[in-house]
Amino acid sequence: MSYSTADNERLVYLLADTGLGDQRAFAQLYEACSSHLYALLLRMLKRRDWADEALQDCFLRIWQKADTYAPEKGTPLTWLMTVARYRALDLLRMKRPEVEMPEEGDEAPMTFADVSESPEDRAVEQEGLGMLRDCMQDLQDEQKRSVLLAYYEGYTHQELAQVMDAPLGTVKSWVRRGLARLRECLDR
Amino acid sequence: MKYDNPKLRQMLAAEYVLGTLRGLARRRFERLARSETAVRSEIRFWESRLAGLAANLKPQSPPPSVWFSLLHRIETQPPVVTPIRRPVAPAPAAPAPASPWRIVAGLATAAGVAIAVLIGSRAPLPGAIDAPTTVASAPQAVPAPAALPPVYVALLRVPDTDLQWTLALKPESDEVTAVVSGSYPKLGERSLELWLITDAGPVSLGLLPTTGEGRLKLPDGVSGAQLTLAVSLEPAGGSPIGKPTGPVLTSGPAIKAV
Repeated sequence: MSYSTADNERLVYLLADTGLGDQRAFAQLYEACSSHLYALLLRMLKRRDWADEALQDCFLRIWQKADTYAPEKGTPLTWLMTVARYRALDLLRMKRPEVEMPEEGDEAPMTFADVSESPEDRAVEQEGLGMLRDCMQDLQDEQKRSVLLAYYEGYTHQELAQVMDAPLGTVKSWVRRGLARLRECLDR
Repeated sequence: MKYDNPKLRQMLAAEYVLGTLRGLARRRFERLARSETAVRSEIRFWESRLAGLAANLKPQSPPPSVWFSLLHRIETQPPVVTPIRRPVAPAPAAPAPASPWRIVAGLATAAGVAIAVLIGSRAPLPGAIDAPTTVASAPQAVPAPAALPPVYVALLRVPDTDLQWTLALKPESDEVTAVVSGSYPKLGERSLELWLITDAGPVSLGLLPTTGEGRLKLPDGVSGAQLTLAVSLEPAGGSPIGKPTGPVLTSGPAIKAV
């Protein structure tokens, strides 16, 4: 992620101390990382009350599980963001029925009519994401859109089919081919 | 499902991380990951690669209430039994780490004397009642609380320093009193400004003293069960624009004490 090596080192220490029950390290970890996690949670969950709840859940988990962090799990921020994203996916699974999916013909809550203007693309176009960005550009439009929608919105295949107005089987194959192509490209 | 097909496992790992693998299939795959190193490393491959997509979302500060609710939840959670992970530590003598909430509560109790002085020892403080050592010898014959103007108390500490303020907010007299302890060596020529966080954004209450005691001004119409305060580092004399310009060093609630 966009953190420098020094930042990452500091986070490794803060995580280690949090794992030993050091509340001050935990407070510093929260201060350093909560705004990144909160941005992702707000993006995925859309509702502040859900994002607040999810952020609490994440940091409660981090407080309890900080000692299970190991460098091979990625940089600390990657690990924390992963905790946040899985929590958001769980919450969406429990709560999404409350959110009305757009009816066919209605405008989707996030319009991707102009793909090049979407925040996702801007994120991908930012510097520092090098390979991921290049590989994303390699995907066909539908493949890219379905992967990005699943990532940022936490959509299921069914939800993707609805939002992208395409048959379920087609959407599944967009996602799978997109991921397979991404895997190949990232492996190079 | 034939998990021994590497291509399939790669795809399942990708869909697991992306989140499109759902329900029972997701749980099954989680179980597989627990027993198979190769599956775990494939999952990590995707976690670290796809995390790049979140990297450039603009950071958003969560409301201070999240932190305080989190501390409260940590306090009320059953203690997690963790193995001793630092063999060099003198295990029998090592005290159990205090939870953050307990530390906050402890500090609040320690500050009880100062608060009691600030608000005139008119009533026992919240938290002081159940504390093993009662701080203020509050008179038993306390006047009816309804007759008292409200007072809010707060304890704000700057992390990594011993600088802290014990604050009493008295909306009745539009006044805030602050008692300092500790110091902030890195302050230099700058000032520390106290803010009340309102729905309309932060409202300056003035500059905090860095030694001794000080008085600040409270705006009209402040009320509620709990108020949120924050301290920012500002140029000498305070923020020139009426909003915080420097980093927020600490924040916390002021709780209705009387």
